[in-house]
Amino acid sequence: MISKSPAYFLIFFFLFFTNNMRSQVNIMGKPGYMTTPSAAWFDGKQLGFTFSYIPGEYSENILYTPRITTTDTPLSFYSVRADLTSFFEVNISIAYRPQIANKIGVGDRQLDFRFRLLKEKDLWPALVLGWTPPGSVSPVLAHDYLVATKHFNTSLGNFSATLGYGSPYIIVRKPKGNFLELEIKKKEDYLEVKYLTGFYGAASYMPLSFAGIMIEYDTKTINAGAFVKIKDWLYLQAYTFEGKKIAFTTSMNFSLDFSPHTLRKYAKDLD
Amino acid sequence: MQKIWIKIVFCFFTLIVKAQDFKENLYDAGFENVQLIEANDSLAVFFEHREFRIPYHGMQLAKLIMDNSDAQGHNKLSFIPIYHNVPIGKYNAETYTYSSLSQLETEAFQTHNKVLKNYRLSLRIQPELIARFGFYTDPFQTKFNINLDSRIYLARGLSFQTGITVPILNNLDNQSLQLRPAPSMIHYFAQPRDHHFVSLSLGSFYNNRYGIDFEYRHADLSKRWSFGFAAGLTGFYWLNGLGLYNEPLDDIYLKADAEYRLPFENISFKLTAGQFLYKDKGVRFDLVKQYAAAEIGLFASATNIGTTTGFQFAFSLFPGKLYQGEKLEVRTTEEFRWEYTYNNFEPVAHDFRLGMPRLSDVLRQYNQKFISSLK
Repeated sequence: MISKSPAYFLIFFFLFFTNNMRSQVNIMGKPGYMTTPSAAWFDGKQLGFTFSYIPGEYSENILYTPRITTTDTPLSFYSVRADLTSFFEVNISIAYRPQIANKIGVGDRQLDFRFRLLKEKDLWPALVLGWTPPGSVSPVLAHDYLVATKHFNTSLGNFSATLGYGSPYIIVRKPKGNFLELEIKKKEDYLEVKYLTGFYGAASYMPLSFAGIMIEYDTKTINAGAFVKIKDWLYLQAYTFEGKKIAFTTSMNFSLDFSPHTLRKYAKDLD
Repeated sequence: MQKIWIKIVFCFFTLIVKAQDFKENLYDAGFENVQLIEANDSLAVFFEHREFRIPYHGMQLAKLIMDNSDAQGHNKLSFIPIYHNVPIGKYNAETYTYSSLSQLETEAFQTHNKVLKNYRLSLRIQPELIARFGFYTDPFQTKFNINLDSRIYLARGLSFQTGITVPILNNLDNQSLQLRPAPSMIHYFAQPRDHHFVSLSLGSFYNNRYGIDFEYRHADLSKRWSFGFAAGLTGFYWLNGLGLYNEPLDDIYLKADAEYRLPFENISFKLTAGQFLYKDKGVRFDLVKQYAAAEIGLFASATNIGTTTGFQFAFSLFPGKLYQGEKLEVRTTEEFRWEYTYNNFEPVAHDFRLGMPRLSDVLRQYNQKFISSLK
């Protein structure tokens, strides 16, 4: 692995380059800010694990489940993200309500896809389509959106800006219907949720190499917070909903193209 | 004149000594059944490295060792990775181009393949996690065991795998936490003709199945397509410590598949159709992405019983080697695989594990296009 050829310098250069890449995620572990998803793409970090906590008072904003009467309990998300190709990403998450787990079980399981439509260029933003495949009779966490993100690296620090549009409709499978018996419903009527329907926006500013601040409008509330890069692969985020209650997210994002321990150790011992 | 002869003889001996050193260096680094076949200025290195999930890492380590030993000087170096005591194919050390073995190489392997002498006793730590999510009273029902097992080679391609299961946790069913024998089987693996692989297993398997399992796969490892066929006759068994309960051997599964590797991104599509476990007829579609350190897949199945979708992943457990001596090694498993299915009420398109990867999962790692994409 480690030799003196120029190719390895290139690899090291690439690692250094990706070190500077931000890997902020939203509550469900998708590249994003607090509750909003962005169009960022974590090249070279194909796998991610995220845990998020949302206070009870605001958990209904994100996940209102019609069949449960008391949804104002704290909500946790456990999510996994995997880049299957350089333009296709899969997110899997569980929405767990620890206080009423004995009533609702493990919570809603969710599968989402992200498609990278455009890579970010000097003057052009990144463009991503987020899609929840239909098939659930109760798609309480379905998010379909189109989002653009642009990063600006300046001498004052790194900025990012995001503008997205969340679909106001969801596709619901008819109860006891098969996979194809679907109907389109208005999200606001069906779920009584306004989160991520219509235009949303977010921005972040990273004046330090290891920390930054962010603000967003998720079509329901305005949220603001801070993030800290503890390690290149480990991020902590804390944020408030309307300046009232605190939520947090912790995420780990790393590469899947590494060598086994034995091989790395052997290469290291040679040096 | 005499001086030249002395030089030639001297060079010849140093080459032999260097080759011998290289062979020992490889063995010391965890390689087994190492054989060096030299001809003119080419060198073919046969090896098995059981700690690594993909053969590329074995070749990488062998290259590192070679670069740092005196065994250089061959213009054409190639690797012949061995899996379960069967050489899979020959890979050029620079380009990773695959070719099948020559008659000479096959014969040389057979001559030097001493199954008892060339291997260590390899003790493997193989965790087993069975989980079911979603029941209201107990959202995370899990059963977690650690299997300590070993594979012992008996003859060419013929091995015996056995060990003990140490149950750690069980709130999934009423199987006791007493120690019990781990799945134990006689296994035969062969490549009777180039690109044709067969695997036959007889014994007790994972997922409480016992019986006989047969797999055949046609895979030219330089091509994108591969085809497989698998069949088995199994029954249910259950061990509480040494207490055995078993049902008759009466469940036949029979299925065929075709797999295609996309020209980019190391993605393969696989379509499997036939009769799965519990006489369940239907199809399963798989999308598999290979990374150097893991494999991640999505799947969807539709059968008589119902429909489901889910994902799977596989990786080698950290740290790999725990202890390695002349005749013994203790290591974590080369492949931990876990599958999640959304439909946890109905056994849609069920399969069982053998305690080693299925043929398609093994051979996918040996595809020339995958290996050369990693360099």
